[in-house]
Formats: sequence, C-alpha cells, structure tokens
Amino acid sequence: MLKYISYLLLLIFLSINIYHYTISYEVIKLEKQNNSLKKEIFSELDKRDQLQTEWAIIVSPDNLERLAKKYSDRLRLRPISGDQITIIPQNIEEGE
Amino acid sequence: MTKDFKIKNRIVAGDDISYLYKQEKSLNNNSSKDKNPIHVGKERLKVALVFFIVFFSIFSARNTFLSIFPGEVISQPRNSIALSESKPLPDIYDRSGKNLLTTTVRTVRAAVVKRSNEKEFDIHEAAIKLSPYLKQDPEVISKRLSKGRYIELVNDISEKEQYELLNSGVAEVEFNNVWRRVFPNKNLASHILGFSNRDFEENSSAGFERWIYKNNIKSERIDLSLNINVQNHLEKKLFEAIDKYDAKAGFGIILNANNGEIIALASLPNYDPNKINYYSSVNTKEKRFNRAIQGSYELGSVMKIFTLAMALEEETISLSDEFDVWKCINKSRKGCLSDYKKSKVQFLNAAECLIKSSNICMAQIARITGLNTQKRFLSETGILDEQFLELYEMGKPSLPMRWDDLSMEQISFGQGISVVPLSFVSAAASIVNGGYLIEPTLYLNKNINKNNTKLISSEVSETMRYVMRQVVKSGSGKKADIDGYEVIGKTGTADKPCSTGGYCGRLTSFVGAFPGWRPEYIILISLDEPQGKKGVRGSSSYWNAVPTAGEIIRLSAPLLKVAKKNESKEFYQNHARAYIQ
Repeated sequence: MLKYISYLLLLIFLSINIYHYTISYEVIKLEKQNNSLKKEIFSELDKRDQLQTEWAIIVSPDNLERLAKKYSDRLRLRPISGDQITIIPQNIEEGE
Repeated sequence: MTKDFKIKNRIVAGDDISYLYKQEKSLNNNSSKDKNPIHVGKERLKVALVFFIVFFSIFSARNTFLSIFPGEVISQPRNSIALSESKPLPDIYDRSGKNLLTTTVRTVRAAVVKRSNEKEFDIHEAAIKLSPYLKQDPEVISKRLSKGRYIELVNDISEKEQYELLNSGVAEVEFNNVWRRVFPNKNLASHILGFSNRDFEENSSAGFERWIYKNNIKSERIDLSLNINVQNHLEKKLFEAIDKYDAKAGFGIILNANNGEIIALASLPNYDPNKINYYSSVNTKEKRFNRAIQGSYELGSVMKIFTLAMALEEETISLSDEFDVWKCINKSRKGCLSDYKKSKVQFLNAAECLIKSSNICMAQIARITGLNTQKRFLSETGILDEQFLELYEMGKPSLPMRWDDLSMEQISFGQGISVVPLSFVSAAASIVNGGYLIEPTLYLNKNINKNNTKLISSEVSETMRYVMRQVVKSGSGKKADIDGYEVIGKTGTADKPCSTGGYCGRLTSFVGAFPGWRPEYIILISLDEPQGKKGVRGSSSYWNAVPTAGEIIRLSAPLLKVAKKNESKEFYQNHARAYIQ
C-alpha cells in the first residue's frame, strides 16, 4: 500500500514539476513577447514625441515670424491688430 | 539465485558440474566478495542511485522554487533601461496648448565602461583607436580613460557616429539612449522654464524645471498660464528697446490683473536652455539672473500709486486737496527735496500730484497719513514680503534699516526701498482691479475660484484708475496711450543706488493696465540704464520704457482678446466731477 502511495506521490510530484516547468517557460516566452511589444510601443511613442517636438519647433513664434517675413510678398501676413477683435454687444454693456 | 539457475541451466546426467561448485564456492568466499564484478557493479549502482535521487530532489526543489518565484531569475533585457516606464518629467504647454518643453530619447551617449573582470584593458591602445572618431589627441583620451570605471566619451551623437565608434574596435565602448529635454522655443521664456542638465540632477537645474524635480511632479503634462505669442512680443520689443536705448538690461511682466496668472515674464539678456550645458556657469551668470523675480529694485515714481491709494483709502486726503509743491521740505546739506521737473504752479491737487509725479507732494501726503499707516498698508500689499511663485529663485525686498520719518517720505515716492518687480506688479494690480489682492501664479486656472481679500475699496480703485488714466492721457505716460484701450498707468525714473554709495545710472519703468475701464491685464516694463540718443532726447521713462510698453500693449491686446472701445465714453468725467469739484 505504502508503495503505491509513494508511486502516486512521486507521480504527482513529477507532474507538478513538469507543469511548473512548462508554465515558467511559457511565462518567459510571454515576457519576451511583452518586452518586444513594449519596445515597439516605446519606439512608436518616441516617434510621436519626435514629431511633436519637430512640430513645436516649426510652429514656434520665432520660426513663424521668419517664414511670414520670407514669404510676405505672397502671403501678406501681418500681426493681428486690435481692430480685428470685437465683442458681442451685451458684453460691452456689461463692461460698462 | 538457485531458482534462476535451475531455469537457465538444465543439467543433464554426465555433465561436469564442478564449475558450478567452484562458482558457489567463490560466492560464499568472503575474501573474494569485493572483487566480484557483479557485486561491485551493484554497489556502484546503489551509490549512483543515491546521487541520482539527491540531485533529482535538488533539481525538483529548485524547479518548483523557480516556478513559484520566477521574479528573481527572469531578468529584464539590458536595453530596457531606455524603456523605463514613461517620461521622467512632464511636458509643459502654454495656455493655448503650444508645446514649451518636451522630452525625447534620441540622444545617444557613448561611454567606456571598464567591467571588473576585464583587467587587461589597454588604455593607450584604446585611446589610439578612438582618437580619429573623437577628434582628440590620443594622450588626452588616455588621460581621461585612466580615471574611473565609467568614462563618458560623447553625448548626443548621430547614428553614423555611433556606427563609426562601434567599428573602432574598442569593445568597452557602450551606448545608451538618454532622455533629453527639448525647448522648441529656444530663448523664449527661458527664465521661467529654466533648464536641467541631461542627467536631471536637482542642483544643476533652474526655473520651473527645478520646481518639477523638487516637488517630484509626475503628471504627464503641465499647462502654464503663459501665452507664448505675448511672451514673444514682450521679449522682441524689450530686446529692441535695449538695443535702441543702449540699455544694459531690461525686464517686463504681463499679469492677469484679476486672477494673478502670469501671461508673460521676461528678463533680458536671457539664454537658450537647449545649450546651457555647453556654456560655463561663469559666462551665463549674468544671463541666468531673472531680474523680474530675483532682483529687487528701487522702482521710483511708480510707487507713488501706493501712497495716493493709501491716503485715499484712509480718507486722510481727498483728490481735490491742494499741496504746496514749492515748499522746501527735508532740508539737508544737499538742499531741499526736489521734483524731477519743477512745477510751474505752486499748488497742485492730489490728482495732479500723481500726474505731475511730484516728490514734494507725495512726501506731504505721507506725512499726513503717517508712518504706521504706511508700514501697515505696504505690508498688506505684500511687497514687503518674499513673493511666492512656483519657482525657487525668488528675490527678497530690501527694506530701510530704520523706518523713520525720513524713510517714510522717501518711500512715498519710491526711494529707499527695493522691491521685487513681480511683487510690485501684483500689488499694483490690486490698486486697479477693484481693490482685490491677487496671488501671481504660473499655473493655468489655479486661482479661478479664489475669493480674494480686499486691499482698497472699489471706489478708491476707480479713482486711482481715473488718475492713472490722466497720467497716460496727458502726463508722462502719453507714449503708451494706445488708441481704443484707454491705457492707464504710471511712469517711474529711479536713480540706481551704487555699491559705493550714492546713485549711479537710472532704472526707468512703466506700470500700466488695459483696458482702462475694467483692467484685465497689468504690465510692467523696466529698462536698466537706458541712454538718451539721437532722436531720443532724454533718458527718463517717458522716452524709453513708456513707448516700449505702448508697443507691447498694441501687439498683445489683440492676442489676449481685449476688444477696443469704439466710441469714447465719458465715464471718467463723472469721477472727475465727483472728486475734484
């Protein structure tokens, strides 16, 4: 009887080990996959950041002013003036 | 044994069984037992079995342990440093969502790392190999390589350079991606944004960057109250003014007069935070100094608005009270106290005193109001305390050693007391915004639901607006009178105290607010030591700070969505009648 219990225990022990072994390998595999996905996400984010930075440099007031001056013949851009701003009448009354 | 024997070996009569006998005999023989190969084999198998069981148990135990606690063993790949969670610092945007400061990882850094197991690292050979790529003398490189285990070679290199260095044949060269803060607007708002070195060390940082480190702010983005376009106009016009009037430096502040949000703040000369690490700290000391918040200055006549507001609030005088401005007060060795320009008439009323900016008159008003009231009033405005802002480089005002009657008179017209410009502007805002004290801030919408305490009553504030309107309309602030905004303000030309004693050079200022009927924004422009030049007759505020401020108001007001007033309403005239007559 004891012999069979021992065999059974050994079998359980072995199967648990094998199960853990496969699971741990699967985890490692998944982690690798996760890492590579993370890396991919990161590189995409990095690209986005770079594009955002480039955009910020392009639309910086300094650059826009330079471009506006350079193409002033064609674009005829001028700084916004006070006459272009108006407020709706009720606000004027409120303001007084 | 015998059973097997019987099955395997059938003995027939006549067979020679003597060999069996011999075998049996030898098995029973104790002395020859150890030498029996079968027995030895059995014994060895037993030992092997024990070993096998021991090892198998160890392996199984370890395997089980690893399966249960995998964290200790499964290591992250090396390059995951670059993957480090998210950006180390938040991106910063202005009030309209324009990027002021962002983070990228494109900077590649190359370094020589001497690992402990690589003892035979030939420094000289490595230096020779690296010298053509680093464009440096091998001796210089080998000197650098002999120091420490981690030697940084170059920072921020291109992919081509990285490839070349990789092919140099020095195995110890390693590359890392590093985070880098990028300031897309270069010099713009550099004093507010500050800078950080590439390792994000707390001590080698300044401005808002330092605020982020010290407070460990982890949010993804921060929206500041700045308006980058207004900031651009402010800096450009200040720069032009410094150039035009040969000034040493200049600073300007535009503040929301009702909630204290800083719209623009500039101090020139400034610096490009992208390149700050390339400059030596000595060269940039002057550039890094933020005059608008770090410095404290005797601002001169602009301080007179406090004297008048205080006297009106305390009801010690009324706007129509007249003062003798030919009177000799404070007689000393240098003579009597004088005005910048001697008045043509002997008696001026309180409003005219401010419009004509009479020192003699202000001293008299201060005398009437009294020393203690002045002290209390000025401390209520907040200009006597250290100003709080979301920056660590805040300056302190310098107060008179002994606040006696003489200093009281001097302070009444802006001498003998140095204040931090930002504190001054926020206090001046409460004079014109209906009397509410405000708290300057860099954050957008921080003070939106704040109930501010009152410094002066709404009526006094309205009166002050009326008088300050006259300063711009017909007084020294004429050049800032931008059509449609009814700009109100006060000019100031202060002599700068020398370190050797006495006064040398001038600081000209203009504090203004627009639109005049209900001020939304307050502006302070100051120029340090401007000169009178060809086409510019004088060096007082009228000639330099005022027109600069006017230009800035003209350009910024539309950006701040301040509408012009089309028909001129005579709403101030009622006040003139009520107070003067």
